Amino acid sequence: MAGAQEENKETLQEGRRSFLKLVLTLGAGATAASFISMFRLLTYIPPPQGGTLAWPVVKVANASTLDPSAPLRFNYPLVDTPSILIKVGYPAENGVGPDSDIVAFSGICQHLGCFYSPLLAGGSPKCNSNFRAAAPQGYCCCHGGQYDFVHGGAVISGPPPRPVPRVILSYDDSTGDIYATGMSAPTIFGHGPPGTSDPNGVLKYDLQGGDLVTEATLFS
Amino acid sequence: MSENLGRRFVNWVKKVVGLQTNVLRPVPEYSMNPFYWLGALAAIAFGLQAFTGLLMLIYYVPTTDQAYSSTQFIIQNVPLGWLIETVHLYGAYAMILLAFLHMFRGYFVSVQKHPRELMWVIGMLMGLLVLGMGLTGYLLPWTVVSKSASDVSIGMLSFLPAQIGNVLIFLIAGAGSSAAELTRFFDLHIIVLPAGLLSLLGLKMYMFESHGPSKPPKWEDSGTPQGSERSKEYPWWPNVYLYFAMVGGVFIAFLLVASVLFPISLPPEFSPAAASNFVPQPDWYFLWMYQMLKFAPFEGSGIYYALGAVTVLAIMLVILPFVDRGRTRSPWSRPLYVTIGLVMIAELIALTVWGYLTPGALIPTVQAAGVTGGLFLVVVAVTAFAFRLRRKGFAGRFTVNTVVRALGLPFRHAGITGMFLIPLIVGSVAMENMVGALSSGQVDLTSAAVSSAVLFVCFYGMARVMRHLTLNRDKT
Amino acid sequence: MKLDEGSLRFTVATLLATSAAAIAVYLWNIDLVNGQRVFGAMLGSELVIFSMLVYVYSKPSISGKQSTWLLLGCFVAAVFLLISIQVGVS
Repeated sequence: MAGAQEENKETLQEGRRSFLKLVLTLGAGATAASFISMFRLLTYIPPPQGGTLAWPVVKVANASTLDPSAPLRFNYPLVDTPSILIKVGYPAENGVGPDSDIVAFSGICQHLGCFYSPLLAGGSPKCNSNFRAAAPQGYCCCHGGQYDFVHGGAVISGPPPRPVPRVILSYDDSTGDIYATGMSAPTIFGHGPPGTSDPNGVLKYDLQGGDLVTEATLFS
Repeated sequence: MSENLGRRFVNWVKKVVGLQTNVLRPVPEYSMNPFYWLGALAAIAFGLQAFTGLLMLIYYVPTTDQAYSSTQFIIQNVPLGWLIETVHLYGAYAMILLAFLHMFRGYFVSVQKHPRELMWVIGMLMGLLVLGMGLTGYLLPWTVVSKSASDVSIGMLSFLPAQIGNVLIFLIAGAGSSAAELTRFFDLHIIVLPAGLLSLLGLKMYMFESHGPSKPPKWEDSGTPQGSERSKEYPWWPNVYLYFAMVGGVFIAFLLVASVLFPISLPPEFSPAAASNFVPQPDWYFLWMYQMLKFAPFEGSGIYYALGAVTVLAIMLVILPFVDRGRTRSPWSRPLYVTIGLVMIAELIALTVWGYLTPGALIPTVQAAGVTGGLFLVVVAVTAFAFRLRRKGFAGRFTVNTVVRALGLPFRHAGITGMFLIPLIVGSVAMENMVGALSSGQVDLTSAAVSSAVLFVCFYGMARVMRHLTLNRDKT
Repeated sequence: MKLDEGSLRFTVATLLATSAAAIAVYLWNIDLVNGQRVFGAMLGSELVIFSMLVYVYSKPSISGKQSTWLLLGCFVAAVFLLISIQVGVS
């Protein structure tokens, strides 16, 4: 009698043990499956660089017609990503042109993607009439982020976590034309590292995802 | 029916793979704890590096004009590219840290004694290769930080004797152009060094199988306790594989979450203009050497002394098994080597932190000597105290009285206690002032030395006298 | 309901395997392009749960000292899950 009970217990243990093995295998399988799910991304893989990716090169303005009191808004590098070109009046960091004072930056705030406005020296933003800019800068009315146009778009104050991307300009001193030829790191809000969110719900991970700007769509 | 089929399939797999007969020796219980697995963890990190590196190879281009942009592309434009890149970086840091920890653990429990001398030597060689992987990998993104640091390290090679130095420079940097440097570093990083590491790892695993894991030092010195639970043995399949899965899983989990929380972003691209504004600094695992090279005595032609010192240190570590020939393995019976080891660790950490805090700054001799020498003295004193405590049989009974008795000071009476607190406080304040002066670089050497010597002598002398008086009073 | 040793291991193991499977199913269905950080953090917690499962399997009993490790593992897995939620909404 006792022997049969012992045997039953043994079989129970045996059964339990093999069930435990099964559970372990299932758990291992689930973990492996989670890793493999990473490869769903194969459908999104962009081609290796050296393919068709290139920053659009467009002529933005001519140095002789630029007015320090009128910052120029233009679309770059995509049709829906505004940028701001400004003639500071005195040499600025990365400035081009005969006086090294023409700079351009992305017009999208690096905090949450609002389109911010440029301020000239002495100017006030619409949302804060008490504030007076000491030098040309960007002021974002959404949450008060400020970017220093004289010092490469560095954050002066406010919530932006990093400087605003700079549009790389090139100056042709025979004609006076200013070309936009690329952007410097970090990339435009919504097109760069994860953690940023695209307001339209479509994450564009490379330039091919959006419409590259051309001479025709430079100003819209 | 299907259950039977399942079991038959599993048995077939076990048979053809060879899992039924464990070719590897069974593993004792005492080695199934993380301290014995630091090397295995480093190997897991290496495997992870290989995997993430392989994925990045799809996009990385090793030419000077595309290295930075292709790395930037991986981080910004490839889905999960940032995660792969960050895991690769933190995995590299983890591998180097684990290698160091693995070495130091082995050092302190003397694994390098007979018959494992060769394992130690090969391990040191592997450590060198791991540092080399860090060095070569660091250059590949071609940022202003990495290229400047790599140039400095190549520059150091020129201080070696001409025959060795020139050959090494040619192997590592080619004719000297940036393009050659990049392609050779790339070649070293993905083929030469990993191949070397893998072959040495294979050799070490073979030797490990031969000798088995080292016993806990106490057991080796005084014999294995009879019927000890911890010497029970487990077969490789399934136990060791399971343990591998467990520690590997936790390790990779922490790496992943650290990568999610702190994704990397690249410093600016290298250009001669950018580099001229930039103070080169190596990655953290070389900061200790960097800091040493910033000491005033090692500037200019003194660099030979610094490089010589580092070489001597490395050689001393490598030949350790042939120097330390005693049979005892317990750290408590090797005060000299334990002290040396602790001093090394303390100095390494201090130099690393200090190097991080003072980029590009030259360190005056007095300050350098003060910090390193002072740290040396402190560590020696603390270690000596610990050993003395142990010798007096107080290990495990750390009450105030036992500590105080081991110090040889009589604090049993409130009055005497008060009499000692005052010089103690005064001494501490003076010591703190001196340390503050040292770290800010302004030290009047004579007054500092004199005051500290006087303090120490007075304090200890008083203590000795008091103890003598007290002992005469109560005979306990 | 007091569980004996075997049933306890068995229950804990099943719970762990179920949560691992749940996370796996979730990861197969999230928007991977937008939720990369979530993916990374959840994979981290999945690995911790897997390690705990292996631990439960390999130890003969999970009461006493072993339960401390399991509790720690649960805590870490929960923290990683919270991190994944936090990066998901930010």
